[in-house]
Amino acid sequence: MTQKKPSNSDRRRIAQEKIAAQRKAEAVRARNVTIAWVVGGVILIAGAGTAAYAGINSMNKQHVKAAASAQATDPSIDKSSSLLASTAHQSDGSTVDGVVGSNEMENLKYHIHAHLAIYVNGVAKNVPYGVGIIPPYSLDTSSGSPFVSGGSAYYYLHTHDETGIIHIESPNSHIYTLGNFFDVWKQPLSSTQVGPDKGKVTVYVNGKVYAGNPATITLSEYKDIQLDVGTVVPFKSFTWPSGY
Amino acid sequence: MADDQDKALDDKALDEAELGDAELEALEDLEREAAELEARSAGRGGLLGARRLLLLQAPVLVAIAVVLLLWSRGTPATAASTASTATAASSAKIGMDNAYLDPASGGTVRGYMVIKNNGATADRLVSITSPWASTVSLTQGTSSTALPWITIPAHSTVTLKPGGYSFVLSHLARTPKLGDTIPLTVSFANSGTVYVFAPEGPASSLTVQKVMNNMQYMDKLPPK
Repeated sequence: MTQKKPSNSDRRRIAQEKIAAQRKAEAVRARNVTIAWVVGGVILIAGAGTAAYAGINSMNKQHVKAAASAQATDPSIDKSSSLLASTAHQSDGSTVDGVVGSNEMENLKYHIHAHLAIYVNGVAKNVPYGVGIIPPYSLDTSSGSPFVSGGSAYYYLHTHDETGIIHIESPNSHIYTLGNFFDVWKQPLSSTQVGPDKGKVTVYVNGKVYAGNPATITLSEYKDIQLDVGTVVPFKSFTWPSGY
Repeated sequence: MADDQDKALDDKALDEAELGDAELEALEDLEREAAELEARSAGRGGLLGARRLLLLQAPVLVAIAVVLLLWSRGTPATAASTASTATAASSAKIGMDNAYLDPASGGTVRGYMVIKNNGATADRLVSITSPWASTVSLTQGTSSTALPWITIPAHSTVTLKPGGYSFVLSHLARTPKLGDTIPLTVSFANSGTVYVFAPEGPASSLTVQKVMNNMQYMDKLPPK
């Protein structure tokens, strides 16, 4: 049995069909490869991004643990159980909010004091000694209640003891706010949160309810501020010690 | 439609006519190109190969992403943890308590304080200065020889007290009186400088008010 030899026209048609089929297949293959690279790239980028996020998150947690560990061993930091928050994570001496610097006490322009009381669901929470003072500290513990009598740097806004008295000692005439003080402390302050405690915040300034954001309260001489988180506690006036 | 008719006529002419060398070569080139395309496609696994690549690549990339994730949660974090823990553990943690000065005697004033080091490495008290005196020496007992430093060992408390370590202000710019608050710039080798206020008299005589009133006189004598 002999096979008929294809004619020249068949040969040309067959070759053209094969070329067309291969080119079509090549186009599909190229599309599939492109899809593979795009999908692969997306997966790799997503994986690397997730890995980076998880890594940073994990490192942050480790830093928090390290800071907590540092707080536990640092002889300077206030560790009283009645504090709103410790000073373990406070600012490190660099300028805060662009206005609160440190260590220019020798160029004092004005020196005033305000008072801050905080209640969280009816329980008094103290402001620690050393807010705005950078360790190591020199503490005076001889008279019972410890207070800071030395530090490596002093912010213009700081506390020496747990009385809630905020010292405002500025080398310029800038008017500071309670928000500046909390930013030095690195604690949140808003109408719904004070430090780590969240809830509706009722604000009193010199005995009157303050409707605005507590962070905007300006710190002026003898201003008496009370923040109630959650349960409202009637305003309690602060009695200033002699010498202020 | 007209194209199809033209093509059929061409094919017929091609079948009937004897091809010239050039036309035959063109036809063979066409067939060669078709064969090469088929061979190249077969070498790559054809369309199925591309799909297989797609199907295989995705799980491999997912596996790489998972490995990256596990790696980030494991090794670097552990490294960071180890590093930060090591830093925390290796640094000195200095704190001072109850600095005070004895009454002036013989043109000098002797001072004391408690220095704690809660860190895992030692630190050294290397110098103290004050605007009240041109010289402040570290001494031990009644010796007049100045010590180059006082070592504060790790996890230890060193108490500067009468008969032991102390610091002595001499060449006084002004003789402190009982109740005066004296600024001291206390420097440690590792923990840096601490600006301290100490009372002339018992430590308990210092108050926050005295500290705050003297902060502007850290580097100079207050008015008399």
